[in-house]
Amino acid sequence: MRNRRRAVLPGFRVTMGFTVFYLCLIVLGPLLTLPARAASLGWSGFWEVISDPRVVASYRLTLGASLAAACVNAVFGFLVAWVLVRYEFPGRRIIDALIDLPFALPTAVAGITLTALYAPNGWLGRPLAARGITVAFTPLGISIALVFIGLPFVVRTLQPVIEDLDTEVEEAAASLGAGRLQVLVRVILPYLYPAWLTGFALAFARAVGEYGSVVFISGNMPMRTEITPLLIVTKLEQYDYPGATAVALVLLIISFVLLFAINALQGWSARRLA
Amino acid sequence: MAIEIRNINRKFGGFTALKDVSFNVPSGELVALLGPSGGGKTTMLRIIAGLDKADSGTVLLEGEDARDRSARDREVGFVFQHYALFRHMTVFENVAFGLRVRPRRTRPSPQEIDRKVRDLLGLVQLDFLADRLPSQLSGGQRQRIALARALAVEPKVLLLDEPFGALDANVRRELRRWLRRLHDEIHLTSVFVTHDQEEAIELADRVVIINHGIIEQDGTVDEVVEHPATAFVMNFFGTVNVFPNQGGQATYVRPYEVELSRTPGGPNGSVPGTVDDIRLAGAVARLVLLTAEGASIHVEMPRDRFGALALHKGELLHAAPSHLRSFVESRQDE
Amino acid sequence: MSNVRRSTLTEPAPVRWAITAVVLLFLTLFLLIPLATVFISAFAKGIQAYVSAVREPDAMAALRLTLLAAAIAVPCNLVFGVCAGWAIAKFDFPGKNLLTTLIDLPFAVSPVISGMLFILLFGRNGVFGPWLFDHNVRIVFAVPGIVLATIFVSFPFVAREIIPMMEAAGNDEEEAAAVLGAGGLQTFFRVTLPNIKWGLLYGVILCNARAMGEFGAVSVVSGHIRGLTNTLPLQVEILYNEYNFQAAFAVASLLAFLALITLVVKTIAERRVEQTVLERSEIRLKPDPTSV
Repeated sequence: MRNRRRAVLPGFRVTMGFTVFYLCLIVLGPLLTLPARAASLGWSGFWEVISDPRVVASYRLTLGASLAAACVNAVFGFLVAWVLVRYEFPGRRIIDALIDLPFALPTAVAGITLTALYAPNGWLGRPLAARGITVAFTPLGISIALVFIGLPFVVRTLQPVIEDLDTEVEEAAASLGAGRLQVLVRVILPYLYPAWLTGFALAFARAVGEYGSVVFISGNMPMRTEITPLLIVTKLEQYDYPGATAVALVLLIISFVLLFAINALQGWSARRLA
Repeated sequence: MAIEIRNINRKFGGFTALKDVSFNVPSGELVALLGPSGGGKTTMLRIIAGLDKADSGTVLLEGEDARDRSARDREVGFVFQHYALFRHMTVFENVAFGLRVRPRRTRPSPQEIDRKVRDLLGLVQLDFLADRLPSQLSGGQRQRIALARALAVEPKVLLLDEPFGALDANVRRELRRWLRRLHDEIHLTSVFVTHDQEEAIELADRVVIINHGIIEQDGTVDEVVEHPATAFVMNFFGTVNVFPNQGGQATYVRPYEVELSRTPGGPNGSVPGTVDDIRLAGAVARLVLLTAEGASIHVEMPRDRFGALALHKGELLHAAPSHLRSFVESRQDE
Repeated sequence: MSNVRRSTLTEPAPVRWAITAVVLLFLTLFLLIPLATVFISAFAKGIQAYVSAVREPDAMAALRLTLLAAAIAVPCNLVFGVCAGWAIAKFDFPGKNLLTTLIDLPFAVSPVISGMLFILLFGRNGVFGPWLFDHNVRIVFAVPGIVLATIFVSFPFVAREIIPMMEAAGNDEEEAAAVLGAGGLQTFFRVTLPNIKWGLLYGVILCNARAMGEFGAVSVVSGHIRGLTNTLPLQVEILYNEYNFQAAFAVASLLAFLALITLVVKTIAERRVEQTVLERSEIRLKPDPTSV
């Protein structure tokens, strides 16, 4: 439906012009240099870089840890959203506002704090070490940092949907003889799936690109705890620009695929609830 | 299953929704809870269903206190004003829901369920819609599906909350008649909530009039219309003229209980007034007279009588009430 | 709105308590403890040590640079957000979806890659590298690069908030103003702006939080030159890597304060935005528990 609305309102040229100009300058221009630079490697050079074992290890680590963290956030984020919307308890409002802390807190601050907490002599790290669990400088630590980072996403995408649930439908199901668990599974969850999945995808996408909160706790050991963003930084510091762009391009493609999927999910969610 | 309501009280914060409400629903009857919006009717219905809890009082279902039975266990069918259909399920799945969530012991086989659902869809004459989604149905169709869904679990009582409130006037009238025929067929004890007195008169065997949380009157349709207990009830079922009596007390007269003549006098006295408005509506003529004090008297008479009297606007006439009623304004004041 | 839970339908009490306990435990572990740790560690050696760590020249320089970057990035992105909002919400044109997706792009890009882009553009071997070198202009590893990277990462926030608000508001009021003879800017300031002011505040506060807190992108683009090209987050990193934990947390606590203020302002603005949206839209009448 592309009706060209006759512009009654003024200012289209000016605002549109500035918008496009700004976008090209700040976003498109810079982004386009990436594939341009990577192209200078040629296909074989490109393949050589990204199939290097160290690079592959970093991809596996980044994706694996991000997936694990997103799953944890999916489970707990659902519970958090449910409790915040449906239950009453003292301090609920404050906790609700605090959910966005990982979003508002600079990643470096999160990074050093989590490292201090989970280091072997840290407040949480010490009791865990006593049980033989090391967190800092292991993939586990990376995942924990990514859980922190992705925490708000599932909660915030689910909350409005849970709030908008039609309680009458739950009552209808109960009056028809369904137990509480049956109501939850058969009647409530089907409405929540799209938003839940969207939140999961958002948390996953955020975790994949994360740098600041992970780089302190990971220890950055190549092949073991070196995440892809750090690998890129290392290559840049060595002036291996082509290598860095090649590695980055793959990460960028993954991120864009996720962005695309998220947009599709959000569209599905909107249609479901119409 | 007969329902007995005893002394139900329900408050929401400072607001009293129901005050000492008691009435009976005989088995197999169709009873209307009638009254203005905000009066407490839906609250009462929800308490019967177990969707809400009374502060005090009892609900007896077939003589047994229902207090400890959850909405799930009361074997009531509930039809919501806005249908509450499961949007992500087809019509068939909606109607089958109650049967599918039964515990394994009592759950019918899939073939049984299929048969029952198709029978019900046939009963509500919507079998051709089995595979549609609720969003593809009209309002009237949705309400019939909601009804079929409630009936699928063979409830002992059917509760309907303003079932036709969200529908167009024509669809409403049609569904009303259809529901009455259905009730005559299956004789399921039913209670429905409405604020439309026409609906109550047309559908119900008995009417319980609830106003601001208290019962104004409880009786058959004929009783409440012809022998109202309070002025509120009388007002609810149509236009009422208020005549001051010699004793200073207000008396209430229906428009069709007023005789007009060119001479004063009558068994209960008469009041003079000039004809201000004449409306001819089919078989009746409706007139409005204005008294010297500026009060309006509404009069209704058969068309031929009007013709015989040859009345016209501006004429001075005498209105003589033939039937006087005096009672309290409302049970609230007692 | 959802506080009026009139239904008796909910999970059994023991289940509710168990779930609530699990949730509170999870949030304590992942939110409250880290938050407390920042402040406890910052003040671990007492107030004096805290103050001197904050007032240390390098820390102060980092603070100034952070504020500078935000002071440039936020207004720029604000103007952009408003322009984009006006163009997208008030007009129809082909490619609108593409435009909104492009605006969302920086969200999908890892901060490290964001910074790297500017190196590829303005670094010595970059696209403009030789030209810049010849004219003795330094962008990367200098303040301009930091500002640019900050603009890039905080870019979408204002636009993303304003566009839905302006779309929801519709064109009626602006068209009425146009018919009454108001010019573009007049219409914007007198008619549009009041309607979106809370969304604007919300977007600005988020934009600012991101601008001041950005680490990855700025780290790549900065030269890590103390006192010159370090922002507060970078300063935190340096102090931490030197094992000067108390000072690192002291500086970090400034950022944590900022985060808390951001949360407060965000919550207020959010509530006001909801109010505005509710007042405008048609509210479908759901059965009111206290009526009937």
